[in-house]
Amino acid sequence: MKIEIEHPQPGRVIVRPQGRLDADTAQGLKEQLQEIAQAGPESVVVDMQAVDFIDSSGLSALVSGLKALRQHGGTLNLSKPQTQALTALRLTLLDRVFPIFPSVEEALSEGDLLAP
Amino acid sequence: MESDLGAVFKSIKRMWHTTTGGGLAVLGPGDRPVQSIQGRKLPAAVRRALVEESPLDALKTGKGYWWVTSPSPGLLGRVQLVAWAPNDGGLDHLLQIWTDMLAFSFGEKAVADQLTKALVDAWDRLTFLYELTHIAGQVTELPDMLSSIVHLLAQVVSAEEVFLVTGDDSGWESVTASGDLLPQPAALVENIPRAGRPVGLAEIQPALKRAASPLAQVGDMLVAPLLGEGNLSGVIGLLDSRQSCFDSSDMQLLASVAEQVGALIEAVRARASRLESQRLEHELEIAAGIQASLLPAGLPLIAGLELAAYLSPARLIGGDFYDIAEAKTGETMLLLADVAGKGTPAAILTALVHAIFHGEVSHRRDPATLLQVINRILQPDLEKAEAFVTAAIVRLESESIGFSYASAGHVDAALWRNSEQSVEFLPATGLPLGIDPTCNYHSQQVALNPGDVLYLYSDGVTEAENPEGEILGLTGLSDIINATNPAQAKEQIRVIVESLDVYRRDLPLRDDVTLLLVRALPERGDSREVIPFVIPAELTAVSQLVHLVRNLDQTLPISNAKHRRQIADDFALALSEVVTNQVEHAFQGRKGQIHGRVIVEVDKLVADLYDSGVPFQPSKSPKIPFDPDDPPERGYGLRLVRGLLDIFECRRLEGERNHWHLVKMFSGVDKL
Repeated sequence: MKIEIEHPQPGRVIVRPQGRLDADTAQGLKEQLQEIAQAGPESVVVDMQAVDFIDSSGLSALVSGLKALRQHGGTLNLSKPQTQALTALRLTLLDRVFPIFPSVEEALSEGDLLAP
Repeated sequence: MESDLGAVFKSIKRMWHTTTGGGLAVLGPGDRPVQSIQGRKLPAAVRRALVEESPLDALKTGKGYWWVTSPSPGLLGRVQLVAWAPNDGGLDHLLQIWTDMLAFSFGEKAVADQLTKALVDAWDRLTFLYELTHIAGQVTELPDMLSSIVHLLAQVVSAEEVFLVTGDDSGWESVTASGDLLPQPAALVENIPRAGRPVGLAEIQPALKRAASPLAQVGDMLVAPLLGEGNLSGVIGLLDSRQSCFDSSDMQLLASVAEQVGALIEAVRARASRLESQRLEHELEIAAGIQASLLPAGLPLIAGLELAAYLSPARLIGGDFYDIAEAKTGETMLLLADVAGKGTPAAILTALVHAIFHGEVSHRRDPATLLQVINRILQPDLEKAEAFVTAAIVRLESESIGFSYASAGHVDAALWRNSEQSVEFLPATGLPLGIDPTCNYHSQQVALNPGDVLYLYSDGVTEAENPEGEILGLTGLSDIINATNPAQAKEQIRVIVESLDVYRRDLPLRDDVTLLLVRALPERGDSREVIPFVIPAELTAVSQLVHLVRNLDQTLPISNAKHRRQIADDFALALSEVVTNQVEHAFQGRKGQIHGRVIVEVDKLVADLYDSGVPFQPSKSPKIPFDPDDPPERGYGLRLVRGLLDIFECRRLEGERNHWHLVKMFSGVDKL
């Protein structure tokens, strides 16, 4: 699967996975998020707009990324999930875990990392 | 003496010029390389070589010329031989041998009084090699060619026996000039060094002694391997009762001959195998033509039934065929037969079965009687051909829905029972045709209820083999049939054939695959759409399946587009979770395939999946309440499946298989 990475400003990363996030492809996203987490405290927004299908493997990759980022003092917000992804997030109660925003901009500003 | 030498030399020169277009010269004592030798103008390349390089090199190649000087001029006093010939490309190999040998013959003989003999030998041998090239052009049969070669060679060498041994690892045969058989020819072939040069008695004698070969006792022997493209195709050699009678010029000649003969044998064999493969190709074309011409042009339309047939275009034409004819009383008769064997003989037997079936079907309506008659008529032909035929005949009843079935040793027909949702098999009701002319066949009456399907097929289906060497078998076929029902007959055939491809993976089709389906149409009102499928147990295939199911939304009987989309997406996600689980856990990395079907009903979506993996065991760990601050990394699959589906079941089937049943109701959304 294709994943685009954007650094709009220091400490901020936008991750844009595209296509299907399933058992065949989720490993790529998981590794990408781990890598970002290890690079230092970051506010990450995973832009879900271009993800047209997600299954439990895709959800696992997001949870694993979230945990890695939190461990390194970072955050992970989701933006613009499609209906299919929203259903999957709701059924697994993960909508209570990930802050979900209607746009990348809102996800970015909400995700401001407060200086400790 | 001197004049003899002069005459012989002149003859050789003439012949050399006639056959090669080149020239020949002797440089006498005190001669320096000059522009012309004995009045003949030297080609520039030769002249330059003589002036600039040592003329003593045995063999040189120049632009367009071969030339040679005698390798040891001292032996001839100060006399040197220079021979040259245009190298026009076609003759270069031959020229190399000729010039090489000419030089050797001149240079070898030290004693002046033997010079004449040497020149005569050289003349003979040149003629011999010249003739050898002609033999290759004229004789196409290998034994004739080998016999010509040994006789020709016997004329030019002073040896009591000349022999040739050819063959392969399955056996070696000798040809000799005397016509006697060479004792233990294999011992020679097995012990010859493969270096490509001839060997003398001293070198091969110890090995021959160990092999207890009588040839170890001869006075002298020279033997050379025959090599063609690196393969040893035999040996050629000389025998004599006198000790040490062969010299290095004989060895040189034998080396040249062996090289030529090795290449000839290779060429003749290659031509023979090319002809053989052309003949086979032609035979296959004829057989394919016969097979194709026997197939019925179309399938009959019969009220309440749906027929579909398939015959694989297998590369090797086998003896499969199916046939349809109308009995005198109006019923439809179906035949599916498999003639043991391949190619033209099988095709001819196929044509015979076809002819007898059509001839007899008009006045016999019982499948068993028909088999009995075909068996009796075919018996002499089958016995002669040492072949047998398996065949199944079915009479479709016109009055009631049902059929009469008889099978002569044919692989069990399969029957899908719609009411029980299960597969039955109909075993053979007698021996294969051609085994016993007095065999009594019997017919079996079978009911065919709405939704039931009869599958006649050849053993190419159940004997499909995967790379692990396992055959599909009746169980594997049951899985496919479970998944393909209740699809239309044509669609079922498509999925069965696809399933065989998935099962074989990269292995080529070994046998014909023939299928003939008779499906009793389901009762009216059943307008379900069935999508059967087969996928290899791989994650990439799961993605394709999900894609297929998501695209079903247009066909769902739900008016609201958003709801249609939602239902299709939910079902695709649940299916993705189940199939991913099958691939990752049930197969545990093994190769395999998953058969299944999706059914679009008026009020729900249903999927049934069949796999041969390990049993499904939902996690037995106690349920921990979900903590949003510390979500688990895994375990969302089952939660999704249960949340998305109305029914989710997995049961273990006989033969180590799993059946997964998924239902998603449309309730809650408006119906069409």
